[in-house]
Amino acid sequence: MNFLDIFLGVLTAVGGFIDISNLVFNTQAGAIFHYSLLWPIVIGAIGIALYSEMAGRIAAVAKKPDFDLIRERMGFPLGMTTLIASLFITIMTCAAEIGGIAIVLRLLSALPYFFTILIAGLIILLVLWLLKFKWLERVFGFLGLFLLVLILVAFNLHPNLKLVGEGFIPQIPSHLSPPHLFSYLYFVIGVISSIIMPYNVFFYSSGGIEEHWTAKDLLTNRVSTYVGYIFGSVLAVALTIIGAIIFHPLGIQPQLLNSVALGSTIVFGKIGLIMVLLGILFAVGGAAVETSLAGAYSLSQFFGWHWGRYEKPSKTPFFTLTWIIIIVIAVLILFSGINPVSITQYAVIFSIVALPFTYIPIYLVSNDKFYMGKYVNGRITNTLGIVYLIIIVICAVTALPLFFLSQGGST
Amino acid sequence: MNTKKYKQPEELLLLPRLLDCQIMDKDGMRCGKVDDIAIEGKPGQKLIATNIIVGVGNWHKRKRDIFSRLFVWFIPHTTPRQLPLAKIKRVDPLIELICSKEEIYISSLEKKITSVLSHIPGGK
Repeated sequence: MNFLDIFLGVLTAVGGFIDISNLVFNTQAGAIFHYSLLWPIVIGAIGIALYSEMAGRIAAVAKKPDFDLIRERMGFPLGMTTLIASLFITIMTCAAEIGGIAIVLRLLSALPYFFTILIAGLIILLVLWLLKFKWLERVFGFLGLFLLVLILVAFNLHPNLKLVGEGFIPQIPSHLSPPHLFSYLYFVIGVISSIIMPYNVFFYSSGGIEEHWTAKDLLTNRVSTYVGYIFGSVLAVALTIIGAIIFHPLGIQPQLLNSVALGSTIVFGKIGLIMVLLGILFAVGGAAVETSLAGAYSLSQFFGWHWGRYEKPSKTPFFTLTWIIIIVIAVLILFSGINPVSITQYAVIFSIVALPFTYIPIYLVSNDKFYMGKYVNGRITNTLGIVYLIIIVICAVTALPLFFLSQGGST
Repeated sequence: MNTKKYKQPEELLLLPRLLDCQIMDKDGMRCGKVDDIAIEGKPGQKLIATNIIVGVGNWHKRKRDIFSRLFVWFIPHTTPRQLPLAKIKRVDPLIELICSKEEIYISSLEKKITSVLSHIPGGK
């Protein structure tokens, strides 16, 4: 057992937990519904930990990443439909993340936004070209830990701990009128979906193959997912608290990424502002890397191309070309002038629709003795796995109607 | 007919496991998926699986649904490659070959992209 590996795995999971979708949805959730949307964070965190652990275990034991399973288990037509949907969502999310980097670079440098989009795209291309997988994961994961300042900010804003505690109890506030009720339910789905977005699992399971995991790495896999993601979700809780204390009393629904930095500035001044901006920069930077790679992993695994960042780019030609194209498309989307926050909202809601097709194959294979031998799911994992599949299907079926009924959460 | 008592031979049970499975060459390079399986024989005779078929050009034959047809329309019509089962070292659960990727097939597009990427510093 390598304690250093486990420790680094946990830190990476904590630092890499937050991306632009969490920054947007959690802050807005706090601003609009105070603490009543804390419980979906817990549901999302347990869900992502549960299915990432299964996906990592499959990668370690059966050597099969997620899209291998999707094509094998869902069949060719459904597998291809899932591939097309996943690529669409991943490219949208990648655009949102690169847009997030561009916004932070603009705040730090005062350069024009369109220029910072170009710089952001070039930085991600360069970083992906130069760094091997392990370094990609750890550099962004560790530097994303700057966001821990959000926890200090939330504490220093002196939240009412009793009300915070009540927010963790699953609830539907009784005083909401129908339009607000739709909006609340939309945010419930948005908060859960922003945590369990499919690219997380694509990236994590492919990472297990990249790092040549074996059955010896199962403890690292288990601790990194359960401890890392659940600690990471504390950051999402902090974002909701900050949104609730700063924006809720003013009746403001924050629509800009820089709103997230406001709480830190109020509590810690300039140092707080710089720390949170750096945290956002590396968190969304890491997510941009993850989404572009996740898209390339998906396509390569579906077609059987050689893939991986442990290889030189010329050894993985189609894989390399795919992540380059994804970043270029993402930059072009941003050049059209669409607000990254709006892209995030669409990506999160559409991703939940495709989510069952991503998670069902993981559940099936992690129970298949042909692939997993003695490492099949235990009774508790199986029960939770089924419960989460039901939750995911309910979210998938209701996501789009709620999106339209609530006008994207703005009612 | 009482189908409950009918048991499929193990060889036939293995075939669905092979379909869509990742193929890896002797050097650990991934080199496609099992897109189809060629079986020889006639009705009433013993069926023998002879080759695995690799290549997206075969998809429109295997699947006749609208998604596959649309997708195949967009991709290059490469000729499917037939790989004799004798080239398979083991199925565990990836299909490992006894030969290298170069011995099977590398498309001209793949060669071109590889050449371009090799010329960029850090690419090779």
